[in-house]
Amino acid sequence: MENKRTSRIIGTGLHVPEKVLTNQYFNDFFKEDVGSWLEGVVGQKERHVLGDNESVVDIAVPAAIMAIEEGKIKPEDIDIIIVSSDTHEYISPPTSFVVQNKLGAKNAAVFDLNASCASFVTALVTADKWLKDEESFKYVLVIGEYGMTKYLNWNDKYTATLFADGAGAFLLKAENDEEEGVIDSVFIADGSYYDYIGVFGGGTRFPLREETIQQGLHQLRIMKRYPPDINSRNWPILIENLLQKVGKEVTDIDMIFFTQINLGTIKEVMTNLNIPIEKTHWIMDKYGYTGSACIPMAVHDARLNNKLKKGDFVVMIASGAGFAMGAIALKW
Amino acid sequence: MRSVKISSTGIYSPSRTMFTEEINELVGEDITYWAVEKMGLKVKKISEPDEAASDLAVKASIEAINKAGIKPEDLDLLIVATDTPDYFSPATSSIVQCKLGAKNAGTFDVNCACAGLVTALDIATKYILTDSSFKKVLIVGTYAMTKFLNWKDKVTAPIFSDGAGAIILEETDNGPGFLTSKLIADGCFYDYLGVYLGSGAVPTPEYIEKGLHFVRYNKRYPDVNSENWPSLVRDTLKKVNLTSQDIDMIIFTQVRKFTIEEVMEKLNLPLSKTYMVMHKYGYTGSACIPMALNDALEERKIKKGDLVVFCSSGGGYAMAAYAMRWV
Repeated sequence: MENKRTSRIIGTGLHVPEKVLTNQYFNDFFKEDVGSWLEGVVGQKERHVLGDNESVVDIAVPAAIMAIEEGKIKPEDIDIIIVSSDTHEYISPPTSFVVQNKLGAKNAAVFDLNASCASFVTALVTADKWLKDEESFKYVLVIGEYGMTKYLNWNDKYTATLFADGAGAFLLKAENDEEEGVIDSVFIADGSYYDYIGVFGGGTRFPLREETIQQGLHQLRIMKRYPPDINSRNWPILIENLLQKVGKEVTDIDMIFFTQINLGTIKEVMTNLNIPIEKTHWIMDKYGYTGSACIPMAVHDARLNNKLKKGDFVVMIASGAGFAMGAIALKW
Repeated sequence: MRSVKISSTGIYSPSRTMFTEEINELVGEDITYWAVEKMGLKVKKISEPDEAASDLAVKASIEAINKAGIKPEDLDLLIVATDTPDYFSPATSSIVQCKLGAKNAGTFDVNCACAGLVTALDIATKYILTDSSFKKVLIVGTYAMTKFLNWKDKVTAPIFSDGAGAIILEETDNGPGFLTSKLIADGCFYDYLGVYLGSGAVPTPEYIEKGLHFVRYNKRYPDVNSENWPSLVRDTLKKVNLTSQDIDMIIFTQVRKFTIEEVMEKLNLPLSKTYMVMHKYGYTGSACIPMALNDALEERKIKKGDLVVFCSSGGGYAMAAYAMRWV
């Protein structure tokens, strides 16, 4: 039996913590001009960070509620909740268990997915496959959350300035209408970069001991420098693979979203592919880098700016450390 | 009809073994009756200090890949199911992909506590069934919970062991293979049992001093497995018009022998239709179902055409059931 089902995004949500850190704050803190680089190269002006008594669940739940409300359903209607991140609430149990409880989504199956900052797109692909195959399911909630500031060494100017907190959510609905919804997806991964950047301590490799903390292994660390062109080299390959799979051309793209790590890279890729810059949208200027949350946040923000309309051919490209990359194509 | 089949399994259990007598000494109490009679645990298997979850996963995966007669490059997708990852970030699947040389595989980790493996198996099934570019998927459950153990805690110290179990899932035209699945969850139990480290519990020296970084039982669980497994199995099979009486082999999360015996009785199934390995490997969480499956296959307990069911539970809690006709 051929599968005719597809899945469509019927709600989006975004939530960031209240506390804001500006570039000026870091200029003052580090007593040097880090702001020029942040704004000029990375594209960041300010970012939101979790307060001492807040955690990722506190931002994931409001983002989810926003998406659920737009979809005009009740939490009990949700069949699966996927929380995608590499900054989870706990090692165990999964963050999705906590979120399910707080949402009262008592009929939902739950799991967490981690592909570093490619988590959200990977989870979106997974949600779509589930809705396409399992006919008894109707709604899947996919949440991307990022609480990386909890793992920062605030005295390290390279990481302290770059990473921020936030959450984004999509509500997907199964449809029998093939005219819209998720079309297809591709992944590429190269695990040989697994020891370059990460939060390496606290898991089973370097279990948490006093020494782990003394060595700063419980914090986000850059151990080796990534090749600077890793995204600008691989994103076009990913886009080409995706377009080939769905039988489309670069010129068919109405809107394309990228992991919000570096505005310079996004502009370079847009130029190299000869796509007009208006066909992408960035949010790092106001939200900083929010990892597994940045793509749904960018999509939500683009919608607020009327940059997405029904029928648009939309592509989302995500990169995660390690590395794993994912791309998804859909008709809005 | 295009479906999926399990083409091979592989396991790894560390050689370091601890017997109940030693555990009694460590926790300062004779826990033999509870551990052996109720839980079914006779040994604890413990990874080496320099072995992390990915190392266990790689060893089990190599065995599965070899038994399937494929090469690591043949894999299209690699999913690691664990709640004892190497790092917070990046994902353990990146490390496993690198060490296996599975360079054509997409990668991600799934965490559904100890229900992770069956959930990942279900996810892998959906990928193969809905996207023809996914033909061979490696699903590996790995568990290194002893890294989080307080060895003096008489409740947790006897239970948790380390190990890994891998499954190669492939597309097949000789269906039916996969039949159906079901997932249920009740997140109300999220603060009962866990490793409370992460962005919701940022570790500090004081946190460690108080022992809060260990795997902890905060509240006593009711026996949610004995209560929910029978209906989960029945509801799953009902979706494809089968009943529990049709089951040829059912493999449960190996957490408690007594519970499995109770559930088999509730399902009105003889104990010969389940297979247990906790006496050999200890309790190995997200790894235990493929480890039990592996040994059941070696013992020729499963044959072509059998209705095979996996039923798993993860603390917090989530449960996953998966039914297939053995191909």
